[in-house]
Amino acid sequence: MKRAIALLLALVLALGLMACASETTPTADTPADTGGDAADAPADTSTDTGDADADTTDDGTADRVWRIGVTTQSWEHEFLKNLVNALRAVDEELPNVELLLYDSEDSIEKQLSDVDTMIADQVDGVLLNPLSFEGTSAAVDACNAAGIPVVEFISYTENENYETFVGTDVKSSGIMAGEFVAEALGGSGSVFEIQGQIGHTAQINRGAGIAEALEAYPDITVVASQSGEFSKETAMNLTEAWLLQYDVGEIDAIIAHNDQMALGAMNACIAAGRPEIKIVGIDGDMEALLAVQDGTMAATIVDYCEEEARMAVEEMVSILEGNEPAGQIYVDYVCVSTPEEAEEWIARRS
Amino acid sequence: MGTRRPVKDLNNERIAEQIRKYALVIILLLMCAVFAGISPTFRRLTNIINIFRQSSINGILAVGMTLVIIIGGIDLSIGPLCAISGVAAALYLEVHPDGVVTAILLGILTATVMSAWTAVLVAHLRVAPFIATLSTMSVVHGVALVVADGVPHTIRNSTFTAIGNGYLWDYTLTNRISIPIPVVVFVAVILVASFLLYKTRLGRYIYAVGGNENAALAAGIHVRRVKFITYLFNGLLCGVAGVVLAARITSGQPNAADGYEMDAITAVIVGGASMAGGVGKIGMTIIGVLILAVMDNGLTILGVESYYQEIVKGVIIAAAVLIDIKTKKT
Repeated sequence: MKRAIALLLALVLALGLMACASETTPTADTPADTGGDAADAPADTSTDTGDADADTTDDGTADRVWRIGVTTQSWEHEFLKNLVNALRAVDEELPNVELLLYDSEDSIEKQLSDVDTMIADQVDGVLLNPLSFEGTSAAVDACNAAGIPVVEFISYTENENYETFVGTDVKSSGIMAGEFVAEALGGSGSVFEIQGQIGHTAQINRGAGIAEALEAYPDITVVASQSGEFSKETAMNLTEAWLLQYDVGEIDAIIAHNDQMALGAMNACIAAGRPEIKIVGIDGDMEALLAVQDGTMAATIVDYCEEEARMAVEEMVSILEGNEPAGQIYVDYVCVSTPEEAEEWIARRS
Repeated sequence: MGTRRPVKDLNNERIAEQIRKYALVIILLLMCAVFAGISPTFRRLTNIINIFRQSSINGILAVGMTLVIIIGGIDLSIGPLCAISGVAAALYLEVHPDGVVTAILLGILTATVMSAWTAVLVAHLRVAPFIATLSTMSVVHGVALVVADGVPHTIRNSTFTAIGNGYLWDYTLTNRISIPIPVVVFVAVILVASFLLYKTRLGRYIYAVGGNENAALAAGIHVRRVKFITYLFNGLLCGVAGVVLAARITSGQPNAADGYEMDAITAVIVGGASMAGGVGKIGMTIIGVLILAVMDNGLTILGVESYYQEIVKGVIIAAAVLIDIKTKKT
C-alpha cells in the first residue's frame, strides 16, 4: 500500500520536474530537485514554455517580448511537423517574439480549451490554425471577448472576426494539380481522384479546384472519385481495388488530395507493376519530394509552410505594434515536378 | 488477548480502506499543488474554471461509462453517439432556427434510440459488449455521415451555442468569474446518475448484475431488463454530452468526438472501477476525470509537448490500476 502511494508520489514529482525542466528560465519556487531522471527533457521542449509571466510583466522598455499563443492541427501530420519546425525557427530568429505552441491533437474541443488556456495565460496574441471551419469559430469569439487579436493561418474559420488570414488559396492547389495532370497527359485521358476526408475544408476546396481545372479539358474524364480519408493505407487499399477493376491503359493519372494518399497510391501502382500511371499529390511531404526526385511520383504541389509561418508571426507582431491588419495574405503553392526542384526542397526541409 | 489481534487487523484494514478511499483525492490535490507551485497561470481562477469546463463533456460520458462498467460491460460507441446527437440537433436547427428545446430533446433522443442497437445486442442476443459496441460504433458513425451528408452543419442559434460556450451569469459583471453552462449540465448529470445508482432499486440491481450475473438471475433480478436500461441510459448521457459538444463547437459534425471513448474509459479506470464489473463509484470517476483534466491542462500550460503528454497519460493509467491491485491485497 505504502509503496504504491510512494510510487505515485514519485510519479507526480517526476511529472513536475519534467515540466520544470522544460522551462528555459529557472523559476525560484521550483520544488526540490530530487533525482536526475527528468533532466534529459529540456532539450526536447525548449522553445515553448507557458510560464514566462515574470519576464513580461514590466513592458515599459523598448525591447518588449510579445508572447503569442499558437494552436495548430495535430502534430502527428508531417505537414504540421514542418510547420511547427518552421514556427520554432521563426521563434529562435526573432528576439521580440516568444511563441507558445499548442497541439490540438485533432480534437476541436481541445483546440477550444487550449485557446481558453492561452487567454488565462494572458498572451498578447493568438495564432490560430483552425481544425474546423465551423467548429473552431467559438475560439475567435473567446479571443474577441478577451480583447486578444487573432491571426488565422493555413486554414480559417467561418467566424470572420479575426484580424488577418495568412495562408494559401486552398482551391488553387487543386487547380495547380489538375492543370499539371491535364498538361502531362496532353489534354486527354482517364483521371482518378482520391479525396480527403469528406467534409474537411481541404477536401472540399482541393476537390473544387481539381474539378475546375479539368473542366477546361473536355477529353479528360474523371472516372472515379472516392475518399482516402487523408490516410496512406486507405488510399492504398482504394488504389488496389481500382487497379484490379481497370486494366492497363484505363488509368492514366491519379490525383490525391494530399501526399500521403498519393504515396499510398504510388505503392499500390508499383506493387501492381503499373508505373506508367502519373501520380500527383498535394502538400510537399518529404517522402513525396523524394518520390518526385526518384521519378516514381509525377509531381507534388508544395505548400510553402515556412513562408506561411513567418508571414503569420510577422503579421501578428505588426498588429501588436499598432499597425492596421492586412486582412488577407496569400502565399503561393509551388508545383514540384522535376528531380532538380525536388532536390532543392529536400535540402530546405532537412 | 485472543480478541486483540482481530481488532488490530480491523483497524489496519479500516485505515487502508480510508487511504484507498482518499488516495485519488490526495493524488489530485498533489498534482494541483505541484502545478500551482510551478505555474502562476495554472492557479489563476479563470484557468481553474477552464479546467472544470474542459472536463465537463468527458465527465458526462465517464458517468455513463461508469454504470456500463459496473454492470460488467464496456461501450466503445460513445463517440459516434455524441456525434449523431449533435448532428440531429444541428439539422433540426437548420430547418427550425428557433426550436432550441426540440433540438436538444431530438439530439438526446436520437442517441438514446441508436444505443438501443447495443442494448438489444448485449441484453437480448447476449453478444459480448466489446463486440456489440464495436458494431454500434460503426453503424452509428455511418448513419451520422449519411444523415449529415458527410459535412459539418453550423449552428447559428446563440441560445443553443450558449450550452457549450455560455456562463450561468454574464462573467463581465464579476471580473471574468462565472460558472460555465457545461459544468452546470455536468453537475445535473452527476446528481441524476447518483440518484439512479444509489437510491433506486435499479441501481442496486446494476451492482448485483455486474458482481455476479448468475447470482442476480437466481435472486430473481430481471438481468436483461437491467442491462437494457443501463445501455439506454448511457446512450441518453451520450446524447446530452453530444448536445453540449455541438454547442461548444457551434456545429453538428459527424466526425466529432472521435476517440472520446478512450478518455471516458481511462477516467473510469483511474477512478478505481473494476473491468470485471460490480465495483465502481460515480464520485471516484469524477476524481478520475479531474485528474486527467488537470494533467492535460497543467502539462499544456508548462509547455510539455503533446508527444510526452501521451506517454504520461499511459503511465498514469498503469499506476492507477497498480494502486488498485495493491490496495486490494492489504
